[in-house]
Amino acid sequence: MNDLVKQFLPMFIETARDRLKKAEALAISNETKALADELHAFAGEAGVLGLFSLAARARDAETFARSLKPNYAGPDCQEHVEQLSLLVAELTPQS
Amino acid sequence: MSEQVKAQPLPRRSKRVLVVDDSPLVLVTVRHLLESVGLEVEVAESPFDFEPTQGLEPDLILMDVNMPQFYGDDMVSFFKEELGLRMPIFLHSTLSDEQLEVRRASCGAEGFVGKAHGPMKLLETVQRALGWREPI
Repeated sequence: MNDLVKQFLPMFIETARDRLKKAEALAISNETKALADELHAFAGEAGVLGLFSLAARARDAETFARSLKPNYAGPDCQEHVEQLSLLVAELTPQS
Repeated sequence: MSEQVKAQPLPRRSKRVLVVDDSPLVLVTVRHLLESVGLEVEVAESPFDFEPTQGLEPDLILMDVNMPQFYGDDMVSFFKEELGLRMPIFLHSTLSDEQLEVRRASCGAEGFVGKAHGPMKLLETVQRALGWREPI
């Protein structure tokens, strides 16, 4: 784990949880553009820290959300968000 | 006996980088990264928070692209055409390299670096843009 990840992981996890909570609500309410923007921001934050696989998964989810009609997210979007939430949970240090 | 005057090296100002990004997490991370190699870093959550002061202009600007209310590449055009800023501006975004190259060429930015490439690539790009011969 590099120094940057060590130092900023708690802030990343907190921000990621907020973003994914918001993304989940946006997927349920079929706001695909806002959902894609949220996933885009999430991917950027993961990338800047060097969390490459997480960033790539978020980018895939964003691409998927952008491929949808403007007002229909559907269950697959929620599935993407759930997968990302699981990956973030795996990053959380166990107490 | 004449006193010999030794030439003193002029104090060298640290290079200054302005980072514009709407994500507070990206701002603190990039600030930490760039300061770790001796750069001075100024951050702004919005390009409108930045007021260029004569003599204190950054040597390089890193500009996010997707921000609420505006696109960073539009701001690059504004900085260059309306404010007359001459320092290099690099786009720093989650977009793919292909998308970034199109936007870079269109707005007149000097370069870009994808967030997906991680912190070391960002550091290397910044150091090269500032003319460091051997980036750390």
